[in-house]
Amino acid sequence: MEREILHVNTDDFYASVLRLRDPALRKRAVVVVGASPRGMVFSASYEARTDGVTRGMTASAARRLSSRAVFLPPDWGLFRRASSAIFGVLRRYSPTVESASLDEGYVDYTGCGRLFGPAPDAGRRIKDEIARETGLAVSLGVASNKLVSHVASRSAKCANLVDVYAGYERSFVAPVPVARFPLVGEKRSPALCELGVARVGDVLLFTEEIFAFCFGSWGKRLYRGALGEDTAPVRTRAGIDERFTVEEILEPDRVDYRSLEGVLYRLAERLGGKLRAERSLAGAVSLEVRYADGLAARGTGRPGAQVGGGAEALAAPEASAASAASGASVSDDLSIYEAAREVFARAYARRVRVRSLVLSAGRIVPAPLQLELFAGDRAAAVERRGKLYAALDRLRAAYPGRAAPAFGRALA
Amino acid sequence: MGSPQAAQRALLASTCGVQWAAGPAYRARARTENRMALTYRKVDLLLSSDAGGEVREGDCLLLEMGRSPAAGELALVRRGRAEALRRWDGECGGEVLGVVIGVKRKL
Repeated sequence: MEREILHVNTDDFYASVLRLRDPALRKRAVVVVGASPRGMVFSASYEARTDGVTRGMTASAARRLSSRAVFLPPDWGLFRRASSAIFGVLRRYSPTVESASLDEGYVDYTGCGRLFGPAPDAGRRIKDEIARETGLAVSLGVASNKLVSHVASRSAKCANLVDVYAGYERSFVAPVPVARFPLVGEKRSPALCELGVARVGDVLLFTEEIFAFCFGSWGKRLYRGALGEDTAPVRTRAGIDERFTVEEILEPDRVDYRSLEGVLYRLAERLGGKLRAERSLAGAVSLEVRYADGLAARGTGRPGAQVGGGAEALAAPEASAASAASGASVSDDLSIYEAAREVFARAYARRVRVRSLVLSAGRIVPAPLQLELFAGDRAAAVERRGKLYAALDRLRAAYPGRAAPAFGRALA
Repeated sequence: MGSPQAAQRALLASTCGVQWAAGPAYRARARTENRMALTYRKVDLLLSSDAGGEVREGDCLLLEMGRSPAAGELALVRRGRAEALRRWDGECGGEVLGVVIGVKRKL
């Protein structure tokens, strides 16, 4: 069956969401920047872009270019709520929805035509529902794979739909400049320009073997992409549950690794407390590191995967036994911290001060109530640890703030 | 010597130099084959039902220029002063303006 993939891209997402909060910003140039004087531009509205403001530019340079623009700090809570409303609409049209970022995602519409009609008609309904429920405008690309639908939605700006007929993907992507091709981007395009490859179609002047030899697996993917081929499936990821999200804004901003690990442990304690209060277990941990310059890095890890399958963790026994290799569902602070620290080591790659850390739990499952019939040593250890955390939670509730008992690493 | 990546790129350039050295005529032909020009054309009045509901009035047709359509492809054809969409059957009943590869529609 021919696949039908919709790529949904919110027009000017960050500025539009801030305009919803403050209608006085309508028709004004809006630039979202980090709060510090040397903060960087995180997003610029179309009006600001006409003045030459681009993402990644320093705030001072942006101010010089666009004196008429309004400079605002990002409101991540608001952005997340708007994003979850958009994806809520998309999930009505297909069970397979992938979130690529807060403002864009893929919908695998294959086989859904019998329910909602042809993909372009469903696209119009999606656009209408998102506009009605959130006040945001979206552009859509329809194609037989993710890559081409992404290129299509980029060329559909604003509030348009581009439907690329099956079999014409290669012709459609051929004139696209390599710097604007999703697989290449600004960083890798100079290497291709050295070879005289300015547009995607120029890649096909070479053979696939040469590209694979020179650029490895990426070269191979690029070559297949230039042919308009992409076999990547649309992957559904569990959405972030606001109940199990904790954030700490650092005052002042910090760059010291040990100190940030201390903050991370405090977040793990708070998240663990929330999970235990809801009698829930987390199978995944997501961390967002927000830098002082407005940029952010994200990562996801699985608790238990790096601590021996959570043998000592407050974990669902059957889950930890069955998934020692792939991680387990946990709610104890230490397992959450270990997973978050591993993600932090990957995500914190810039020597830039950190403004805030956001830790959230995913793959939430209810904690099992059934006791194990043949309780072994491991189950006994889990039970002991459960009692310890229950006592700690009671103490923290009774003595909130600094008076509550805390582990030394949380005070770093 | 620079990075391994730079060395690989140099090797690539030297390997492909044979092709590039074939001259501007080869390069022009290769580019034409691999980088077909696309253009958008708005449909004001649909003159044919050959599109089968895929194209509606007000749509912008995404046309691939510079090649003749294959059998069964949807093409925009000019006959006299009128333009019509035709499912190509091998006959040239007019001037082919382009092969329809997609549509752009205002939502």
